[in-house]
Amino acid sequence: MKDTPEHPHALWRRIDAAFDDDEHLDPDDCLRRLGLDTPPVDHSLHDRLGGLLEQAFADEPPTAEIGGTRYRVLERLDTGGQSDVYLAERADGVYARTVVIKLLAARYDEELAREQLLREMQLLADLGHPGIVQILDGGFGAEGRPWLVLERVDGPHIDVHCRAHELDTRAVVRMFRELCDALRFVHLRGIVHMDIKPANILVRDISGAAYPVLIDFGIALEAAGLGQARRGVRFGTPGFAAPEQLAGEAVDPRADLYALGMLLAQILLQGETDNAGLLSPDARRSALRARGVPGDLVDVVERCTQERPGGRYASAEALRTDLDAWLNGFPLAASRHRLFHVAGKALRRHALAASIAATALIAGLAFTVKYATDIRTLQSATLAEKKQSDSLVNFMLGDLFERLTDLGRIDLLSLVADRSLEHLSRQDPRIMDEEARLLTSVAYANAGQVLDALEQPTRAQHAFEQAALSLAPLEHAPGRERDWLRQRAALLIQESQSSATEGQGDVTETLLREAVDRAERLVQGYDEGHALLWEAHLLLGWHLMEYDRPEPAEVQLQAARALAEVRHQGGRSHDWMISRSHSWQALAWFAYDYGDAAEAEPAMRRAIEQAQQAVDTAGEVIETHHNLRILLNQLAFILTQDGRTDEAAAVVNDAIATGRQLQLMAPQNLEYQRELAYSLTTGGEIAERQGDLDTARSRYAASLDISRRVAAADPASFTAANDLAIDLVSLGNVLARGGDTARASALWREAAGLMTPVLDREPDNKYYQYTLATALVQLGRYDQAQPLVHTLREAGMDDEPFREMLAAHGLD
Amino acid sequence: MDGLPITEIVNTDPATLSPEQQRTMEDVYRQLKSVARGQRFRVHGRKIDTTALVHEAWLKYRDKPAAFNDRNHFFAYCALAMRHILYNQARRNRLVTFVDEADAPEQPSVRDQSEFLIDLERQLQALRDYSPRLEKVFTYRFFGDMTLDEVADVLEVSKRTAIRDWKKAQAMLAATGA
Repeated sequence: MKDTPEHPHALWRRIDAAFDDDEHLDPDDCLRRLGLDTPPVDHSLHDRLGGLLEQAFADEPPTAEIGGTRYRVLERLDTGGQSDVYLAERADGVYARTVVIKLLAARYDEELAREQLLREMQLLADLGHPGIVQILDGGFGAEGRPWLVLERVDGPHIDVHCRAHELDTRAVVRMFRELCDALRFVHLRGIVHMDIKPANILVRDISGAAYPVLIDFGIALEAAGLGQARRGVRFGTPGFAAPEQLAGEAVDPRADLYALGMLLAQILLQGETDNAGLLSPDARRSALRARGVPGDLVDVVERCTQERPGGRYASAEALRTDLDAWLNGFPLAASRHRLFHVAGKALRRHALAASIAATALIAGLAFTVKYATDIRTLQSATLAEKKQSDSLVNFMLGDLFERLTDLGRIDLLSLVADRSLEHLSRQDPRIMDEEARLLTSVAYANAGQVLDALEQPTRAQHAFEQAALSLAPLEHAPGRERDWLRQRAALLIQESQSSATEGQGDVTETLLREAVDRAERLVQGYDEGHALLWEAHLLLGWHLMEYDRPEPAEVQLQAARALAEVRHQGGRSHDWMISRSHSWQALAWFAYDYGDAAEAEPAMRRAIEQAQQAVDTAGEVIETHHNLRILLNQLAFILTQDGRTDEAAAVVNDAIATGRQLQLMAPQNLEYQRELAYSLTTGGEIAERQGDLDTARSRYAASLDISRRVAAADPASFTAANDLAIDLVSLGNVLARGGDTARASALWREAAGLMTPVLDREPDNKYYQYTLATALVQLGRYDQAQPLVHTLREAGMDDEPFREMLAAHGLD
Repeated sequence: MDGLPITEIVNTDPATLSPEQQRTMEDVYRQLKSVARGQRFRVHGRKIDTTALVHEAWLKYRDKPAAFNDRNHFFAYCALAMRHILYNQARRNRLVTFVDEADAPEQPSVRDQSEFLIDLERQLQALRDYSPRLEKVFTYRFFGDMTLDEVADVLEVSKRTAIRDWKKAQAMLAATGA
């Protein structure tokens, strides 16, 4: 500052007076009159102080804000109303890790709000899920601004990813299924994300597989920090945020489902609109339809995006189930009639034993991953622990599966499968090494097998997909080809059995053909996996027969038989004995269906001979007995069809004897019991045909006993009900022939009472119609029977015994 | 605001503010910084537009149940906050320049600006002794980019007076050295 000759006040008074005297004086003139050449101070701040201004408003480094020098900021990623986001790295050289630092805009001065926010941060930090961004650190800055250090998710936004890879609708839906898993995980912990939109979901590439990751829980945090005060405060992105959220009302997980539905619509409508949520529901629907989005999927979007939360899916899991159902071509929840399992379901009794199995499992799985400062140490510890618990899971689901299958107690594994799936879904694929991935794949595949056996096909298929996903990186890993081939072939076989039960013929064939191919490579390259190759050939052969393609089927069956013969001669192992038997069995049926029926019997007898050898060698191995008994039943059937009743009677006697033995060995196995009941029924029919009514009566009665037990164990099963009704009718028929009409009528009435509600549910099933029609005709209720009889005749289901019965009642 | 008119509480000396007023000042200060961080003020090659900055800050502030129920009073606060911000920055620069010259490539002009501002602050303190109103008129207009209508409104004087005061202050500060 220059010294002025006079005191400033004196000079200022003169200036003051000058302006008071002359209203129109301007500062330039005034200064000139005073003999000063300095220009007046301009009013533009930029011109005078632009540089200083820029400097003052330049960013403070966020590291200063979070009060430490542990991180070095690399670049600013984003800034705006909600938060400032920086890319940073550890600066202390402990280890190289790139992180994201996020400074929230809101400030928290009040202790209560800060506590609430910290609690929420802790909750989020505890969310160890690969589909959720990991919080590594957090706190309050100097100005009360909350900050977070997050793992860096290196990948594009979900919409960009879908566009770049030109994902089709199915692939998009699969990705949303993953998102549902992540959301479910979040929701179960009482957190609502509140800001699901394309910018908040990144797609991470993990060894070639794309995983969506939910990022930015900023709004969830702020809403939590505001606590009670959140009422009336609006958060969220227009178009994506649920109406109740935009209105400032309390939200629950269904608000996230609304946003997820909009996100799905947005991705399916990419290029058409920038924000599908801003379209009217009608416009959105017709835009989706115009894009060729299947109607069921449009329904899913609509269900998600209902104005009222009550109209939406109740949970992320419910949405996921529908996405699964859509992917598998099943009816969706919206239009779903109750799906009844046709075959027998798992026992729900014996809760004690089930809970023992579950407790053992939980003990093995009970560990939680919490990221702390040194993530690496934890990761290796986690990995070791993971391998241990996976081994346990695989023991339980694999080895135990085999044994419990024999005992007929797969239901025990239901809980194990549930828990292990939950356990597996929590694991972070990024930290896994190849061994861990292999174990994970096996665990998923085993769980899938159990679920398939428990008749939960959708969940089973999802498990198989996860198994494939975990396994995929091993394909090109050096030195891992053998492991990969082995697990890949096994997985394909397991999966094919699930898709076969679901009637997905093409899928099943594709899977089995690949299985054959992989197993062949394994056999040729490593001289192992012969059993897998044999199994793939045999299953493919059966499958092709089922779809009426005899030529390729025979190729597969002969390949299976040849392999079994060669292996059996080489190793004499008991397993190959059974394999040979199975091969001959399949060839017998092939001959029966397509070839010379006369060749069926000798082939079946060879199969039985080898099965008997296996029983003799293996001793008390249940499965061999079971196998033998099935073959005896089948031979009896072939002989009966051929009119060779006496020979059939001898075979059935063997089958019944073996069956009774099995019943003693595995009294809980319903499948064995069902098979015994089948032998008894067949034996009853043969005896009836031979005119031996006493034997027939006692066999039907024994079969009825079993059927009653089976049906009581599974009241929801229509098959069990039908089996029971057939036994009631058959026993009634024999009793009637013996003159005991009163007891016969009672049995027929019971059968009709049993089948009437079943027919209401499944009116088109010809077998159920047959059973009910028989009971009604025998009861003399011709009016009720008439429409059923008509339908059965139209369908050619009126076989010899049926026509005889009608004739006896004078109805032909 | 304790019901006091802004003219009574606006003071360049933070020590004379009540705790609540001080908080409000800090609020405004932060608000300005946060608005300035927003991308639209950081377009390449564009200098910070203080008018836009203050107006944007007001838009954000309006929704909050805070102290300001009047736009012009809010602007006046902004002007003061801006004066604080720049003065503090200028003082920091002085320190930095002495310690390490090579660290700041664009420093020559910023250093000059800093010196100018420190000089100006000293003069404004003197001007307040001479006439608090002149000091305020200058502060609002120069640091807050307020129109003379807005200045007149806040100080509850006629526009003519505000115009005359502004010209006086400009000339006076130039005369004594700024």
